[in-house]
Amino acid sequence: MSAHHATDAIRVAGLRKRFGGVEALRGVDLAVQQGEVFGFLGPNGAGKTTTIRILTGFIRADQGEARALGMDAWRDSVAVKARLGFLPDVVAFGGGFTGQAFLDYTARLRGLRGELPRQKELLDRLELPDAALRRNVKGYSSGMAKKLALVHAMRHDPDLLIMDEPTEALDPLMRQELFAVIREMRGRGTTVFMSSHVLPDVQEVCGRVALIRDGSIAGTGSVDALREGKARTMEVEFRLPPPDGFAVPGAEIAARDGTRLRLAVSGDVNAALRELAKHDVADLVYERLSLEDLFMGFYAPNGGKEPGDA
Amino acid sequence: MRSVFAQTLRSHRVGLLSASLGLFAMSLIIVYTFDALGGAGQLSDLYDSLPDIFAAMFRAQGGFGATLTSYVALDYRHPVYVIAAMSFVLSLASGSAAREVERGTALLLLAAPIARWRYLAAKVGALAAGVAVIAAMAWLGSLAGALLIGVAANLDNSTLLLAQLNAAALYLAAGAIAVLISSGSSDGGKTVALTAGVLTAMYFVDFISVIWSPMEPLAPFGLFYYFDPLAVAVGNSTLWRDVAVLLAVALAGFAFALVRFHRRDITR
Repeated sequence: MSAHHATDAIRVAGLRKRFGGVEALRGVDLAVQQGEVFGFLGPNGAGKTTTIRILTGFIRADQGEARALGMDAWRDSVAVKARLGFLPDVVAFGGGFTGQAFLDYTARLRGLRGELPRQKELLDRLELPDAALRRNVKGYSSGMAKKLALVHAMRHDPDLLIMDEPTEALDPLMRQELFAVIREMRGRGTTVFMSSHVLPDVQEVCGRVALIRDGSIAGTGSVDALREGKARTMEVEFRLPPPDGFAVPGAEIAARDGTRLRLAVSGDVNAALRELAKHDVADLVYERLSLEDLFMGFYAPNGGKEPGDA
Repeated sequence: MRSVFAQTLRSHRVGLLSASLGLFAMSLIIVYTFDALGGAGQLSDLYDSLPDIFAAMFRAQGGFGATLTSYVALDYRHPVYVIAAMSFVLSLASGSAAREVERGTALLLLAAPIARWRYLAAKVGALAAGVAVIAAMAWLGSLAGALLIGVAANLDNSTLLLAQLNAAALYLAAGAIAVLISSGSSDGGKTVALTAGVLTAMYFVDFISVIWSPMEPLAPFGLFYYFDPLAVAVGNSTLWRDVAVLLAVALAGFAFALVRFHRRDITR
């Protein structure tokens, strides 16, 4: 790990935070390398937003270390924010702004001057026309408000982009456009850290994910790595009922119904396939674990296995 | 920080305009009413017949003076003046931190590379500018009234300006209390309610202490003890001490607020 320290865009170690009697974070450890698109998953109240607010300098940790772009997220928050784009979970503009007035005002706060071609490009791509920008933000739908906040977060080409639920309220086309923008930013070396409840979105755009549960990290790794060792499901339909005592190497029979078997495969799939090939198979469905299955495995009342557990 | 200063004034322009024009009009009308109430002679008789409780309300135990200048200065302590100015102060102060945190706008605006204390300091600057405008408009209203009815020679403008300086210092000190409460709060409504409660309590302690001696020792702990425009007009004022105390309260309150806002968690 130490070889990565110099290139970590985000480094969090032993992070703890308590709000009154509630321990929101119980020792969070994370490392996100520069240029990664990193997903941050967890149920409501797990500590996602608290972690993000600490990384963006809005909340001070009680204990532990939170570094963004090599700087202390609290002490050096002004320097961090100069290179940071941030989309909060709550999008509220206030002040009776029109969309354009909000963008102009926050551009001045950031010291952006003159023409902003990147802003124009993002407005076009996220379909916020001039007519919408002339309207008061009070009349914006949640989707429009989200798009305006996304433009605000990305128009200065930040080195680090932190987004809390970026796809919420966006329609499927806009999600795809946002993912395209994120991929382009990653191509230019931007690090993206995003929390989401929409697991297919995370699966689509993130290289690695961390799962947070009850204020501590339950697992971190690539989606594929997190899937490794997890049981996959194989449903087999034979032309004739399999004999009593039928067994498949590396798999357990989860259910049996006449000619149909449901297998939980946790070992090498080849061994299972060789055994099945000895019989007359009418149909076979092999399901990869989706991130959602994985997620449920972690958070379901009877779940909670650590990554890599079978 | 000029952007934050200008935007703060812009977003409170309706409140500022209402308070300023309202106090301008009230000042103007008060000058008109001087003669309508019988001028110096009849007012003197009227004041003498007033019960102590009314004298206490205007801190007029030392006498009303019964000149146009003292009559106008007396009214600067009228509750309508105080409430109009304070409503602007409370609105801006509660919006300066608590309401922005409550609504979540702070998360977008403070995502910019600005130190939080500088952000709040710009808003405090806007508050001070607004208070200066309100005090100036109240004074200008008196001046305009005197010019319109041709009694400008009877009005001591410099004395009234000093009386409004006393008023501005009071509004700033009240604003400092409001900003201090706001800086640690995430609830704009509670900030307004709490500040209004504190200021109302101070007003009544000041008022009651004049007519009920056991309360006297508490009076110096309230801001209104240091606001006495009539005394400025009748020449027995402790104006500079009063302004110094109020500005010291304002500076201390604003300084604590900046530190508090800089160090607090922004949660919603």
